[in-house]
Amino acid sequence: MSTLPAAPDEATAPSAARHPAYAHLSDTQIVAIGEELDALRARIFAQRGEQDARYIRRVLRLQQVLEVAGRIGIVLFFVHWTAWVLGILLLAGAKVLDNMELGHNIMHGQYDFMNDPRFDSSSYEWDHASASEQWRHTHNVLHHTYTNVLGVDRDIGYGLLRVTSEQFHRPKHWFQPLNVAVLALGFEWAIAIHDLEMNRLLSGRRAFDEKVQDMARVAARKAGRQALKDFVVFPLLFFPVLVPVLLGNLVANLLRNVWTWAVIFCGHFPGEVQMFDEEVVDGESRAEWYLRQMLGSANITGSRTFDLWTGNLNHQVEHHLFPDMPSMRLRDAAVEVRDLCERYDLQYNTGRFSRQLGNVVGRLLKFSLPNPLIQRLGMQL
Amino acid sequence: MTRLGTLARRAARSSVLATFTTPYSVGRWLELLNPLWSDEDRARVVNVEPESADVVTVTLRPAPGWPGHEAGQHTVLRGEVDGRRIARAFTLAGSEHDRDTVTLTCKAYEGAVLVPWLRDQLRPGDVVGLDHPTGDVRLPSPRPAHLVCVVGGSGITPAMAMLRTLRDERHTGRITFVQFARTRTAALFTSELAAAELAMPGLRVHTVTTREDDGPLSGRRLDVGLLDELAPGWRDATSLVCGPVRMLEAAEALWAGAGARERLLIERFRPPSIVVPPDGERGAITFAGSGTTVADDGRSLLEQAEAAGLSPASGCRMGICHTCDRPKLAGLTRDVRDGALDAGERSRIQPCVSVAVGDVELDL
Repeated sequence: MSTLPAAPDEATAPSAARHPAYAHLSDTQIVAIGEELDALRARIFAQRGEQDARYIRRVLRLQQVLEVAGRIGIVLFFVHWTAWVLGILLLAGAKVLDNMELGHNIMHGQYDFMNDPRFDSSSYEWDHASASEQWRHTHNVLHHTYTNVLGVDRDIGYGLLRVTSEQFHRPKHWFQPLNVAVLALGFEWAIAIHDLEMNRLLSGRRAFDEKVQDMARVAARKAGRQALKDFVVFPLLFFPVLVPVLLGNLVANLLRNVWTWAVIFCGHFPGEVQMFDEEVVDGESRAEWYLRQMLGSANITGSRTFDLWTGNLNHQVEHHLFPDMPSMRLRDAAVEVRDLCERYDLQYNTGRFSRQLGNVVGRLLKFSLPNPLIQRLGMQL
Repeated sequence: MTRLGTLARRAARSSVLATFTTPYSVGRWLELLNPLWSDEDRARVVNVEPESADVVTVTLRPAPGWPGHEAGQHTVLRGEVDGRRIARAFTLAGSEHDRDTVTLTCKAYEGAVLVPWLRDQLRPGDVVGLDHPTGDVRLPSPRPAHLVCVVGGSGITPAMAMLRTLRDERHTGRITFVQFARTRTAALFTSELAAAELAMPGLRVHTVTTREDDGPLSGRRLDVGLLDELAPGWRDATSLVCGPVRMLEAAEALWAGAGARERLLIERFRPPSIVVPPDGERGAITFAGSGTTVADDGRSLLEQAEAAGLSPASGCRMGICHTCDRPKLAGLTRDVRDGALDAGERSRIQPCVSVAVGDVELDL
């Protein structure tokens, strides 16, 4: 932890360094934005209660029903192959709900107010290869506190990809299209080893000491149990259809990986999303932290159904402003945040899924090239 | 059905079967079929009977696997009020020979949330959380030749559990039952006690009213004179005292003075009391896990814990990551972001953005 810059403090006066994306704002305006967002948060948090509890329980029941139906469908391969395909889709859907609307949001503490161990952030485990304790560190602490701060937020490219001109171009970046495919397909396993900082371990910048060994053991145990369930015990239980069950479970896991990858990358890497230098964190006020969250995230427009299947992470801007706000309330918050951005002439990043995804893929392809080459091809950095 | 239920409860907690449901318990799935087949201890509501304006008796049928209780023990009941799970300890007031149902007599303290909810919202058929019984105050075995029960207010419940147990055993030994109540009408279980007095030859029931002049016992206090008069031989009897703190303190002194402290059973109830100090006055912060107490200096609870030499887990230090969350054991805290007050018992707070309002005890 000692390598981290100082955490944002409660100072209200904006610091001197100002990101170009909000350079047009005066100190008073920045303070006012902070107060307005604090008030919005307080107003919505005061409404938390039975409605949120009922919602998250219904999502849990839906997830469980889908998972049971999906596993049955996969086994019914011996009846007809269409049951198998449907089963895979249902199981993938169950895992998507488990990881996003349930796991991700519960582990943010969105439902801690319920005081129910089933929905408690500190003890929750999810149907995902990564150990929740390690995920909460990289995600809740590093990524959410230091969002889009180069060198601190390790979710920028996940130590593998080059997503901005400010990252050095290394030889591995020539293979970026391949790396993207590997990361998307293996997203849960990439996240499972994320907290170990493999690239720093391999290059010797991080010692493989006792603490890291412990972390590796925890990570291996969790990933192992997950693999045992989907790739050993369920296929063995239905021995006559061992291969279809094994394959079906694998495909369902991969589908979930690709979908979660797409939603998360659309939340942070469309073209207009801003990156920040480490200096901004020093003495950053709460209002400036809010600005960094807004400018460093992007939304995907969609229906209530789309909200559910993205775990409301299509409201990434609002989620980043208020990480522990119950997810079903983000849609309401978005109306006010968007209005605030318009009033203060701030970029509000949003767009259709196809547009955001195309944008992300374009950016990943572009930055596979070194900066001089990008410029020589006539593209902007 | 019971056989099946017992099997289901065992499966619900099985770590072998959980290979198929990892990282979740099997019970999380079985409760889809029957909410009692959970890995959590639960019970189904059989009956809800308001006793008085602030007292309600709830009868429950616990999930398979309920171990039964010993008279005098208590349990924790969990309900959900406005999406928030609220837990409170209650004495098991029924006979220990009734192993299928659980009777809890619950009194609402001022500002209480759970008991009014039990009285007004709970319906037969609902499912609530119910922990297995705990507690060291128990009716001794073999049964004492002379049992003295001195109770006040809702402190009557462990004594009722003992009395009902002995009634079921057709116990013929001496029982002296002294109930303190503000008025005759505030006295609890009067008709049941009267019936028991007829059925049990050794039982004598006395009611002492404290606010009403209606007989020889009104206005009397718990002292040697009262005990000598109502329960001669009390020094050699097994005694249970349960009621308000002042009654317990008086009893401890009395029995100790008589050299009979080891024959006295005391059940302590601690009603949740929140004292808000006058403006500007600061209390003390106790970190219960480490036994450290510091004078509140107004900074966040996390900073003060660190200043006291503790090293609690922490992350963002601005209230977003929930790494430092801890249960608050007692007292009132304020969230510095929105000024929201938290008065809950055992509610989880965020120490990095919480300050104390008066005395606070944190599980840290």
